[in-house]
Parts: sequence; C-alpha cells; structure tokens
Amino acid sequence: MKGKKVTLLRQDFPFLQKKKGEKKPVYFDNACQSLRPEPVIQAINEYYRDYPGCAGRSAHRIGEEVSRAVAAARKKIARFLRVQHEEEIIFTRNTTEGINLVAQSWPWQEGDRVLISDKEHNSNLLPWLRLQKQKIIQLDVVPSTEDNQLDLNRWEEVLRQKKVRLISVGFTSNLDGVTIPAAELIKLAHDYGALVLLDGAQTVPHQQLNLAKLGVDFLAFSGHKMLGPSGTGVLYARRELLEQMNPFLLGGETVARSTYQDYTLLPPPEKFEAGLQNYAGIIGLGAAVEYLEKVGFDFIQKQEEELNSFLTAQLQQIPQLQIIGPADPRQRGGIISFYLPQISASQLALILDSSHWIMVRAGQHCVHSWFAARKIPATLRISLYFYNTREEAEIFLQALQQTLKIL
Amino acid sequence: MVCLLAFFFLALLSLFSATHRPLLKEAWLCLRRRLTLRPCETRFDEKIKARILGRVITRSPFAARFLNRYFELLSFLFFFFFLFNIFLALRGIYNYYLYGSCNGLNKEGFCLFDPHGENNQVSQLAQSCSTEPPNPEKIDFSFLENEKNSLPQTNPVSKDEIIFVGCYNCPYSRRAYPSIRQLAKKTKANLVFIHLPTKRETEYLSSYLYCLNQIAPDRFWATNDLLFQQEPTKIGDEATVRSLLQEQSWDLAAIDQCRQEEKTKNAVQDLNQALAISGIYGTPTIRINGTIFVGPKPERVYARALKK
Repeated sequence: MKGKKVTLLRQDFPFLQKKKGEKKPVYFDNACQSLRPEPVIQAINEYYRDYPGCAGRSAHRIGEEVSRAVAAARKKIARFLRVQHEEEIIFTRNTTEGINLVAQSWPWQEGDRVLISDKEHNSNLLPWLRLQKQKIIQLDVVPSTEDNQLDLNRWEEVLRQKKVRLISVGFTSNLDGVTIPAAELIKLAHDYGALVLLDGAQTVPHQQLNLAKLGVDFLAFSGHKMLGPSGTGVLYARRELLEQMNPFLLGGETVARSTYQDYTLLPPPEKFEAGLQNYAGIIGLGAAVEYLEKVGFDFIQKQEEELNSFLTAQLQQIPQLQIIGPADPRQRGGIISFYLPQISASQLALILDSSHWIMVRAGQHCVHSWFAARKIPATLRISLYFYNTREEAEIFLQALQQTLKIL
Repeated sequence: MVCLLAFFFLALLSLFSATHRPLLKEAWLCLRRRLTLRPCETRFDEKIKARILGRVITRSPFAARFLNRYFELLSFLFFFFFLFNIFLALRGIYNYYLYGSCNGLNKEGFCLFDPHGENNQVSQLAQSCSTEPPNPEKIDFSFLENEKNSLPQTNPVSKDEIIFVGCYNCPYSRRAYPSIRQLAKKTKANLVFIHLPTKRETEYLSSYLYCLNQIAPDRFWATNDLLFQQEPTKIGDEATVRSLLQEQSWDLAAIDQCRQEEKTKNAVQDLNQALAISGIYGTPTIRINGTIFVGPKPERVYARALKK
C-alpha cells in the first residue's frame, strides 16, 4: 500500500522520470534542496503565463490577482504551521535571510548574550559571530553530547549562569539529522527570560509543526527544501516581537508614507518585505505546502525512518565506516552522514554520480566549525525524502560497495 | 600531473569552445597551487579522476582499480604522450608552412590543412620505363646541363633558377603555373619551361614549342601563358593550337619547316629520352634553386625556396 503511494507520488516529479541510458536518477541530496512536483511547477508557470504582475502596488486586475495569490500563500503557510496570525509570516529568500533578519533587526541591548550549539550551519553561526565582532552581543557555544545530541542540562547550566537574550539553534541538524527537544528547550529558555530562534530548514519539510503549541519565538526555514521553488523562505516571528524589530532592509512596499525628512513604516509583514518580491516563488511555495499536506507527515516520517533504518543497518556492516550522530536511525530523521578514514568523501560522491547517477553531498555541509574542531575532513551525506525508495537505497549500497572495492 | 595535463588539453579545447573555459580556469588555479607545492584547492584533480573512474567502474571494475592505483603514473605517461603529440602537431604546422605538406617535403600522408593531399598530387606519366615506385628523392635534373640551351628561359643571367616541368592539360600543372610565372616575373629569376606530355595527344606539342623558342624566344612566353589558359581538351587538338598560333601572328610555314628539320627532331628526342631517365614521374615537378617540389605547392613555399 505504502509502496504504491510512493510510486504514484513519484510520478508527480518530472526529474524522477528522467533517464540517462539505463540509469534513473537517485536523488539523495534533499537536505540541500528537494525536487519539485508538477503542481508546484504549474503554479509557478501559471503566474508567469497568466498574471505576471506586482502584488500590492498595482491596481489593475492582474496586480490584484497576484496580491490575492500571495495572500493565499501566506494564509496556507500560516495554517500549515498552525500560526494564529498570518502577518507573523514574513517571506524571505531562505533560512539564512530569516536568521540574518532577526540578527540585524532585533533591538540589542548592551550585554545581550546569544547561545548557539556546537553544530550550527554557517547560516546560524556567522550572523552571530559578526555581531560579536561588532561588540553588539556576546556569543556562547554550548557543546553537544558525545553522539551529537542536545544536552538540556548543559543549556540550563549556561542559562542559569549567564543572562541570555536569545538562543538560536538548529531544530534538526543538517549534519546528522538529529532533532532537538525543542519544546523543552523553549520552555527552559522562557523560564530564564530568553527568546528562542529555531533554524527549521531541516524540520519543516519533514515534521508536522504546531508553532502556537510549541511557543517558539522565531522560526526560519527555506521553501526549496520542502518542494518549493529555489530562493524562497519564511521567517515566522511572534507579532509582538516583530513590532519591536526595525527592518534592516528598507524600500518599496515597506512604508505607508515618506517625506524628504521622515517615513512611516507599514506594520508587519510588509515592513520586512522590501522591494518587489519573488511572487512566482511565494505562490509556488503555497502550492508546495498544499502538496505536502496532501502527502501527510505521518507518511513522510515513516518512509524516511524505514529507509534510514535499512541504509544504516547496511552501512554499519562496512568496516571502519563511521556514522555521525546517534547510532539509532530513528533519531536521525532522513539523514545519514558518514565517513571512511583514508577515503575522500568528495571523490566517493563524484564517482557515485558519474558511475550510477547517484546524487549525494560530500563535504562539511556548511558546518565547518564542527569539522574543524574534530579534525574530520568531510563526510558523505545521504538525505532522504518521501519519494525515495528501497530500490534506490539498494542501488546506492551496491554502487558504494563497488566503488569502495576500487579505492 | 593531471592538472598539468588537463590544463594543456583544456587550453587547446578552449580555443574553440567557450564551455571549456571555466574548467580551464579551474585547472589553472589547481596547477598554480601544485607548482608552488601546495594542494589543489579547487579539487580539480580529484574531480577529473573521479569522473574518469566513474565511467570506467561500470564497465570494468578491474580496470577502474588499476586506474585508481596508477593514476599518477598514467597521468605522467599521458602527459608525455600529449607533449609528443603537441610536438608532432607543431612540426606538422611548420612543415605545412615550409613545404605545403604536414609530413615534409613531397611527403604524402594525412594533413589537416590539406585533407585531400592536393599539394602533393601530380598527373602521372602515361608510361614509364622505371619499375621502381615514384620517389621524389631520386629525381635527377643533371640532364639539363646538355639540354638547357635549347629550352625556353626567361632570364638566363639570373643566379636564381626555376625549372618547371609541366603539361598544358594537366590540372595540377595548370594550378602551379600562374604562381610560378608570377614569382619569376617578380624576382627576375630564370624560369625554364619543359613540356612533359603525360598524355599522348599532347606529344605533338614538343616540336612546336622547340620551334617557337628557336624562332622568337621573346614571344615564346606570351604564347606559353595562352596555352595554359586554354581549355584542356583544346590543347589535344593540333588544328586548334595551330589556329591559335596563327591568331598570335606566328608564321606557321616557318614553324612547320622548323619541325621538319633533323635538328629539331633530334633535340625533341634527346629531351624526351633525358626526361624518361630523370626519375620525374608526374607533373608538375619544379626545381627551385636546387630544391625539388613535386605537385602544386602554395606560392609561399616557392617564394621561400627562391629566397634561400
């Protein structure tokens, strides 16, 4: 039954129908960006074909149509995240922009402290490092456990000792797929008066979230990792927080009025969405959310868990192969990141691509700091999504074994 | 080594294809780092190796293993092979410039700049006494010592000499003649013309030419130029040639009388015999200041030989 559903869903993805000779693509790089189904592509095409106008500013019919479509997309995303107020959804280009928006727009006070974990993506490290260099904040890094999991006791210890303004942490790590106990961390942070920003880039595409229930203050994520168009993203922030923030980007559509001396900002979300927006992308993202809801997160999680368990069990049989993160695949979502001493991960990835058209990611996955501290040169990362199949996993394992024999 | 090899290879490809230029840049960055004994940052070497291994592994895991193990060594070998090929290619270009053939003076074989080998083509003689295969190196012009005075010449006092052995209805002679004639005019070199009929129907011309040169050597060359300009089929027809001579105000009676003379017959016979044993196997065969060119070469080749 489940296999049949995957087969049917795969038909919606044009890329999966491609062939190079006898080879079909095996796309295991979903943590970078996912593939796009036909309804998303159609939504983008429809915008460019049928109503390629500007939202908000133009009164003509297609302008109004774009405004309606963008508003509908915002509503869909708010509903998808179980968010009470649509205006809490800010459209961005990606997760990176969302985090930078908070870093640059928050009214920091002297002595403000930000906490991050030791395995953050550069997107959630560099914005804070810069603020620290500018002496605007103080940044602390809280180490993870031996198997790369978040240790609440360590966080509480830091929260108790230092006056923390914000915790900015990856909800699900792109390095190893570990999802943190966000609800507990948020409660802890709030108990100590700290706000929480979650990097949800690897969570939102894979888990059903209820932000109202979760109580998170900020959540940033990307559309292109959840079937949406490239260069789309969202920053969720509680309304009262958005009102305190000063946008770091100003321009068209952010102000109600302006004179040569002054300007009056529009309320959120407009004040954070400067200039002409990626309307096709936003509309496409709305279509992606709709599609994901139809697929269902129970199915997505089950499919990823099954595949991860199968692949992990097989990979663990390869001598010297080290998997990053917990041994239990159920704690790593759809990600398996591994390395073999003496074997170049990038070479392995390149060979898998050119020999079997298997797309995996090799390198430090934008978590250079973690790799530098552990002196691990790189890992090979498999990142799965619901349209990946057991057959693809078997092709990967066979190709890997074949490649390892020659290296 | 693979960076070096790829750099040269891509540099060549990039001359013709813009899509290879980003790769060339990567190869250069990699090469620059390797030359200063630092690791390649772009991982270009790794990429190239992986791409090759990826192709081979599905066909032969054994070959892929071998390739992986001896990749550096094989890269060296390929590099030297590549250098050798570059050397051959440059030599080919140099030869083409000097001799009109990539393979050397009067040497046949494939040449990119002359794919049909037309610069080495000759109109073969209808009959030959020799049983040996044609060999440009065995062509001997020493017979000229006896025959030269009876042959048409443009400037006998010149130290530069061009001897043109050709026939009027042979395509390659017709192609080479105008440039040789032009060159002789320009440089005032002494052009000696020898008619070597490759087809029987033009044999009759030998006595005519001898007589034209005997009667009025100063008018010979204008008539010779005209004969080369005629349709090849007309040259085989004696009546047509005679009317042409008449149009040129030649005294046909005097020519006929000359042709009947024993001296003429002997001179023509002597020249034919000398040509038969000279080793000349086709037309045009041209000797310029001692260098022999078989086949119609580009004008620059003749000009260069004359400058020597």
